[in-house]
Amino acid sequence: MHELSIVEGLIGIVTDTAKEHRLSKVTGIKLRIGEMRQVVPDALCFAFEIAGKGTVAEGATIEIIHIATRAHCEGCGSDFVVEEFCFICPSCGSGQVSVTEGKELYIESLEGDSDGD
Amino acid sequence: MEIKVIKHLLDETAKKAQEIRTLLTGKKVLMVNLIGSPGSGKTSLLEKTLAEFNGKYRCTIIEGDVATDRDAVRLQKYDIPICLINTEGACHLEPMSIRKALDEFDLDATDIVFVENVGNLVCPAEFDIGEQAKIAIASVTEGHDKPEKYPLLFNECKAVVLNKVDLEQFTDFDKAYFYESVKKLNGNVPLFETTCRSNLGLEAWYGWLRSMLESIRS
Repeated sequence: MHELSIVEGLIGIVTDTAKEHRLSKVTGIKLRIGEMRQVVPDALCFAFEIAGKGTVAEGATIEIIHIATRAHCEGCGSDFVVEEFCFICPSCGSGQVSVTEGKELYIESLEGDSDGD
Repeated sequence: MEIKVIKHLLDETAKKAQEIRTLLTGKKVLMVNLIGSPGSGKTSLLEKTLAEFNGKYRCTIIEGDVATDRDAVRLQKYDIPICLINTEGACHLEPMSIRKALDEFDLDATDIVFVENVGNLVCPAEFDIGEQAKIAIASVTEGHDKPEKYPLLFNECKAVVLNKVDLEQFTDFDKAYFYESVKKLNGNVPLFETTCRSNLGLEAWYGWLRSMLESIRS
């Protein structure tokens, strides 16, 4: 259930951003989440439904953009998509690789109504 | 209206973890984060390691448990500083509570902080607590498919301990498969086969810990 901790962070950011931009209501939230993060979308949305109650983001829809895992080979320098968590370079067979994408856990944007609307 | 934000969802915890890492590195203290399933042998490995290291190095322990002080009580016999964090239901330790626990220790008189995380392979891997090394502890009784089922931990760890190898003959554990999947996830990560019922394989694990400590100090 690390989804609940993630949602707590999310609500903090959304509340601050809404205040800063004078939003009376947040209606949509777009997230970028890497495959390596092992986030279960249903669990995240459920946690948000509960923890978001009474906040400016209550009832907002959550859109999750999934990011595939990519890595860079330290040996031959090639960049590749990691299929089924196999971190071995398909070009040269080296295991010395670094993850370049797939660990994202970001809020990208939010949609809302401003105070004046 | 749409507002661009681009912010890490665990911004606060990431910052706190970095603060801890800077603090520890500045004081040349090694902190290792032991992560494994319930019953994989984390506390037993810690007992063995403390028996070996106590007196040679100044050790402290942060013991994370959902409930009870049972593991902390088990470790009291070594008479070293222990801070128990009961997460009261939460499935992992977070850097905020680690920071408070570190305040209980005299870090100027500490060489190693052992953190025994809550028994779980998912969430503890997700949360950076400011350690220099995550250690994945698996045991043959759990089966050989754990690395591929929990890729984040086995990808991020600096060492893998495969415990309870003395029981292998009673299980269908496929060691070659286990090794192959660890290699796929984490290249040349060191892998130690151990059993805490004897001292089999423990010397290599101690040696690796000592070399980590040396690299922090230099």
